[in-house]
Amino acid sequence: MASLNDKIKEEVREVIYDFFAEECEIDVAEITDGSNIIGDLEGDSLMFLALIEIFTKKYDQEIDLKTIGKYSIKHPVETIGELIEMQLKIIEHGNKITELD
Amino acid sequence: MKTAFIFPAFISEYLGNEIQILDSFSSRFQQNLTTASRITGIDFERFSIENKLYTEDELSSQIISYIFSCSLSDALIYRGLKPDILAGYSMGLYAAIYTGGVIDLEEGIRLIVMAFKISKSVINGIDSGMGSVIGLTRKEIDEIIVAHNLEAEIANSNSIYSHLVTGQLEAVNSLLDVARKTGALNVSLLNVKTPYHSQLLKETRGEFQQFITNHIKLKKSNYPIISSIDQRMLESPDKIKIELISNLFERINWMASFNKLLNLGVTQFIECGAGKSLQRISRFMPGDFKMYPMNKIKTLLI
Repeated sequence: MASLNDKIKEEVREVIYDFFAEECEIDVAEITDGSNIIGDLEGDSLMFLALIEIFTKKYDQEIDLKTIGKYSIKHPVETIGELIEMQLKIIEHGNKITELD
Repeated sequence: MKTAFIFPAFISEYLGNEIQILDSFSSRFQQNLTTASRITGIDFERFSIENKLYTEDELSSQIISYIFSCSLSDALIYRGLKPDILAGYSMGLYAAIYTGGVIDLEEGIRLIVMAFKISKSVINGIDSGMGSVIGLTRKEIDEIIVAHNLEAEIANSNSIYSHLVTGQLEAVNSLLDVARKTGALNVSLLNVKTPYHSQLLKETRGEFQQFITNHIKLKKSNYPIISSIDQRMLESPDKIKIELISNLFERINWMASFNKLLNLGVTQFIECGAGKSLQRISRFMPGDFKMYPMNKIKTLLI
């Protein structure tokens, strides 16, 4: 778990935007927080998994994927903004993310 | 540097410009569609990426995928980009053995049609299907299957946390439902009604074997082919015949095949087919390698 500061928030946003720009082969300027990951960007759930792995390594976390999976049932992610928000919660709360409910 | 040509099974998502790319390689795509029409009686000459008739029908989709793969691998080899090794993802096996010179184009189409017909006949109206589970391990999925006594099984592992499941439709749906509640990040039912890589298709063995023996003249492969089932090297007609038959009902392991290719020194993977599904899967594979889906291949030819 890590306390969130502006630097981490900016890093997460940048990594996610760059990741989708590269994976979806579009200009990063075409992505907004409101972009629908599947509908607008033609993304997929494997990308969500890949991003969890990227941030787990980056912030040296040990995350139980099933915890994230259970959390995402109540808090489904559809847009880039929601993905950023969830990723920040994972970084901040780790496996205790489900206790937020 | 070793190069592997890898072949997708179905096309779940097109890039959109595949036909233009093939045309720029001077491929025989249109000719091959005509051949497919003649053999199957399905009008493939009117094929377009936008036409859902060809992408949502299981047999048509499989044949189109095969035609894309064969047309592309022919064009690449003709232009001097040759594989050191081949691997077919699930039903991508047909295009892999075509590229190896084991069968000709028409034989591949006949194999696909016959495998489909025999499979349909064996399941005899039983509702069946396939699904995708992201975020659980193989062991966790197997535990769900056992705990709930489901007539479903793992068809393939794409990576540690990405799997395909297969079996009776009700069981597959139950498995997906429990998997999601257990903590899978995502589950989805695939647009495939045949339970490929399921023991439900084991009875295809006799009739498919007989068809291959009587109608298909398998030759030795010009390039080694990796078995998706047990990662053996396939070259002889006998081994390839066993793989063709078993590929319908045995569990495959794409993750193991990919790792085997990496261990053999492959650093360059050419995704011979439409879309880029294999590239997407490969992002979870550790190692220093490059993937080239169809829209990136041109950079290798200049």
